Amino acid sequence: MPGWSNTHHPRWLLLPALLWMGLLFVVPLFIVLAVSFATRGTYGGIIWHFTLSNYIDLIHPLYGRILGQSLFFATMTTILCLLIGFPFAYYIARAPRRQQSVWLMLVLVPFWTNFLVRTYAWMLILRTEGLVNTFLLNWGVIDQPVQLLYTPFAVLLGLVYGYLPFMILPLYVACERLDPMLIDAASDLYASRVAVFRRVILPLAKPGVIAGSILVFIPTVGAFITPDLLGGARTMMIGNLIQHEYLVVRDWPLGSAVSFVLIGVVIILLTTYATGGRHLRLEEVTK
Amino acid sequence: MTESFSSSSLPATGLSSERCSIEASQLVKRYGNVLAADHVSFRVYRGEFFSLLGPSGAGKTSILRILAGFETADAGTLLIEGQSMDNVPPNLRPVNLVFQSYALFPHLRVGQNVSFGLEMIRVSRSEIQARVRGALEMVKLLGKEERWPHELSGGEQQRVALARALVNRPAVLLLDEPLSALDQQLRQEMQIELQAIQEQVGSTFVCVTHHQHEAMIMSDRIGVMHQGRMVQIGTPREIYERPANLFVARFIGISNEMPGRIETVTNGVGVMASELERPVVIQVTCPENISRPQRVILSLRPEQLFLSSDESHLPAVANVVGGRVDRVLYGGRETEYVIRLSETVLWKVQLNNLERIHKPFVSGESVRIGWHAGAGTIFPSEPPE
Repeated sequence: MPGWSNTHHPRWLLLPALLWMGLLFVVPLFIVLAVSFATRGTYGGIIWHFTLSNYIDLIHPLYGRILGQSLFFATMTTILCLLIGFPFAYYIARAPRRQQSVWLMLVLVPFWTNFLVRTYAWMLILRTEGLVNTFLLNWGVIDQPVQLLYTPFAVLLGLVYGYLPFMILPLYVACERLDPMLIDAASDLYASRVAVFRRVILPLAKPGVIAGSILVFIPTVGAFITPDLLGGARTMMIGNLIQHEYLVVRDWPLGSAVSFVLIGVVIILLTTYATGGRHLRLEEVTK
Repeated sequence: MTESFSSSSLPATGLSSERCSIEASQLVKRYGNVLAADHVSFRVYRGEFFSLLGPSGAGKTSILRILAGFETADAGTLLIEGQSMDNVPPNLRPVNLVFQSYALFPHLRVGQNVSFGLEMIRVSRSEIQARVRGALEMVKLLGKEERWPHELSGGEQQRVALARALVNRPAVLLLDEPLSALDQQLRQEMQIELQAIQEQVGSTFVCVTHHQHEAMIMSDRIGVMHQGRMVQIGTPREIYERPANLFVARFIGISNEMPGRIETVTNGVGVMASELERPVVIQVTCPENISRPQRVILSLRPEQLFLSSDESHLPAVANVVGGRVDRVLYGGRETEYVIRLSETVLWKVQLNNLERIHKPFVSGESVRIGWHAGAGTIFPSEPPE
């Protein structure tokens, strides 16, 4: 029905977003792509001289290790957010309406404060004379301060803390949409609690799991504030590398090349994840 | 008349528990201040089609959820197949429920929906295949195994829900308003089909419905619920012809009522003075609990009434009152006449249109209504509220 779609589904609705994204996202992205094939000037400028050397320079174990570390942190953060976020999201989705909005507000409370400020707060909590160590020392659990700040543990803690809401919100939406009658139906059909979760709740919440994982994984793999402040010099993630190349070394072409490698890796991983999910689904169906 | 209904009814007492599928006694369920089930007791015999009937909020769904195990009664005992259901979760009960909204798993195909229960109790793959096939055949859905639930019509979804429950061969099949989402024609087909399926599988069926006609034609016995209480249990005929109280009389079928006062009772035959503007003396058959002068309400079914424009055309009946046609509702096969007996008393009489033994009455016409002395039921007048 073209007549219907013209009056109630006009294309110009897309225009503002397309303009915004086109001018402010796609164009800069192409500029970065162009820069990644340029040459660095002696004092940090860009010389428009085509070269592949920025990408060739990246074939080095050091960069591989940084990329690997970033993927490790992002994967661990995603898994931890999922394990912590799912029960919580499921609980709020089943709570009475009014309670739901209170819980959702609480999830969003951290966003009222700047992320940088919140990360500094974690530094105060984790440092040697910080809250945790003081507490443990006073209670006699330990007799000298434990190194918490500037460890991989601190980075993971900071990342999970920072990105948990991005996991909870899509999971909540998925769980909220789940008809509670289906859970009754499954248990009526002899499913134990574990089987109800595995065979009904999880498959139906899958869109939320996928959306939440993507929303957590992508920003964490490129995170730089958290590893910088909580991880210290020892943990370097790919976001720190990009920041370092742009702002410290002032090698924009190399920084751009690293950015594009990151984009490429994320695209490959997401495609595998998405199609892997589809294969899984097909497998379930044909079983 | 009396013999015919007692022969079709199962004796309510003196049966051993071995023939019982469900024995519920004194079940109580509270939600806050609301008593959803107020000391409800009933028995359902093996292979019986038993309906819980009542208006919404009567507590019938609470009872069904207690039977299924989704809710726990605050007090009372429940035996299913002789086993106590205390602390038995839904997945360990020998019952299956057909949900009102069907509750089909949207991520599973029709075949997988039906095999779900059997997979949970680890039935062998070959047996699952055979039983799923049998169940789908029974509900006439063979060949639709690979469809998704959302691809099916409402009627087909209903059949999947039925097959998904029946495939497990439950001792008791629970049905929650099973036909409420279907249109009129499909509903009537399914009423017949449900009965046929029940005869075939031989399970006990317990059906919750607010639809009195549906309950009457499908059930062996009906439990009528009102405000959390079980007000009457009996065969459809007993409940219609001998309603236990005014609520049942009004809820099941049409109740034409006449307030009045019993003056004398002799050998069960009472003389009643009607409380109309122009009082009439009526002969009634009194139940045992009414033996002395008191205020009562006489309830008559439309088919017990004779209607004529003048008294000479009425058959020989004990009681005759006059009225005026207030409204004529033409319904094709029959016409319903709303007749005003007084300022507050309106009766409904349906006359078959196929037998053209009389010319139709018109609005405003004055008529005579007659009935036999044995017709109708006498209830003590409700205390003023």
